[in-house]
Amino acid sequence: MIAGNAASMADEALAAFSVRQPEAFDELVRRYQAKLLRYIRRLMILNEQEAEDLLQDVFLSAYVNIGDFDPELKFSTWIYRITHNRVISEFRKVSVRPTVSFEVEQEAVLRIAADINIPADMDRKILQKRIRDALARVPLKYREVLELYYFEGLAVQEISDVLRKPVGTIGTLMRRGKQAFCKTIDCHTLSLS
Amino acid sequence: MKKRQDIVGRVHALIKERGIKPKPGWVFSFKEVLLWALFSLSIGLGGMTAALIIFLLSEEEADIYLRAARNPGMLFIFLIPLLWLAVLAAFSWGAASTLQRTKRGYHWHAMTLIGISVVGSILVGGVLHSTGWSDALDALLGRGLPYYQDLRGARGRTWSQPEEGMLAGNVLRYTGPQTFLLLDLEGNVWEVDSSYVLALPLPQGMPVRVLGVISGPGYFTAEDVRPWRVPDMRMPPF
Repeated sequence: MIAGNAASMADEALAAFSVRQPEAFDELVRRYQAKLLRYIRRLMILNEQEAEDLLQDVFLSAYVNIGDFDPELKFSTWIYRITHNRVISEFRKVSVRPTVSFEVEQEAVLRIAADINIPADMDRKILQKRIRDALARVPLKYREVLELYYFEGLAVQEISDVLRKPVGTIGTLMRRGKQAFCKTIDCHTLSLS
Repeated sequence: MKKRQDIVGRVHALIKERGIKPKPGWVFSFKEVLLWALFSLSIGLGGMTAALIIFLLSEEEADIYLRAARNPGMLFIFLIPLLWLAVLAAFSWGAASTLQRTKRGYHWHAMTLIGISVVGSILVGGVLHSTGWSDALDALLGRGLPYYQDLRGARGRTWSQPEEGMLAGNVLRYTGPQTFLLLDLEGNVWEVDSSYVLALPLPQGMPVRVLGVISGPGYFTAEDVRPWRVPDMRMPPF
């Protein structure tokens, strides 16, 4: 019954149906797999297979705990929270320093460039590389906020819900993250070049 | 596109193969209720601790605390409230940390949560103290905790320093209009001259604290006479 209508249903409605009909959950997996896979690979160096295995665990955990989904939140926020927790737990397990292993999307580059006063018209490839290298050196507590904001396009309130931290704290982390990022990339020099 | 179908298929197959079912909603509701119950318990225990602190602080008047601050021998007066203050801090931290784990707890800053917990405990403590429970709690702990009894005995030791101007004991009888015999906490009898103190005759057997100076062997000139506890409904006024 769900299968035909699933594509037109909101995430939150699908989450409610998933409790009784696993087919509804398939549609949620379909909608979020690409986004979450990119998110995982941004936070952690993993090969494709490892990243997919981690993503699979995220979805299984989400399915088991779907009854804990708070309808007052957006489903995307909730699933990002589960993914974030799972990735952090994986960091602890493998005891490696989290780092960046991704290609920076053009859209994100433009957002960062506009927000941190980097001239977006400089050589794209150089800019992308500099942003990627700079982000890799930003401490995780700041980087995760910057990534959710610039790369996942979440609002500050949503980031607060994902990381379970007050909005004010997210604002502070964002500000310090930008400072750390700028310190690393040397925004001032970059804007003069 | 193949990869995407793979993950959907893999997750779906694993759910079927392993017979994975979503946890029932009541499990999460129960967890939330448990957290709120733990929070309430921490506030309750913190409230009892706050009641004891208020009780202990109200035993002595402000001038005694000022005296104690200048006299190392009287620092015991501060010790027990400080000890309970540490316990109150621990309960408040526990309450704040529990509150933060509730569904909406993360919206508040850690300092706000600690503030809510401390204020909650003090309010509960204030109610317990004003209804007389703090006195009963202190007595209960005195009977149940040997170390606490020792610490509480320190108050007696503090008030057994006539050379420091502090004497406590029970009124035996009046030997003149303004002089009475006092049996101190160490079993010595003192003749106390209270002519400089505007006080009504004290009932026989009443436990009192006397501030003053030694005016001779076995003689003490009072500058102030106070009941062993701050006057309240349980003590007759001077």
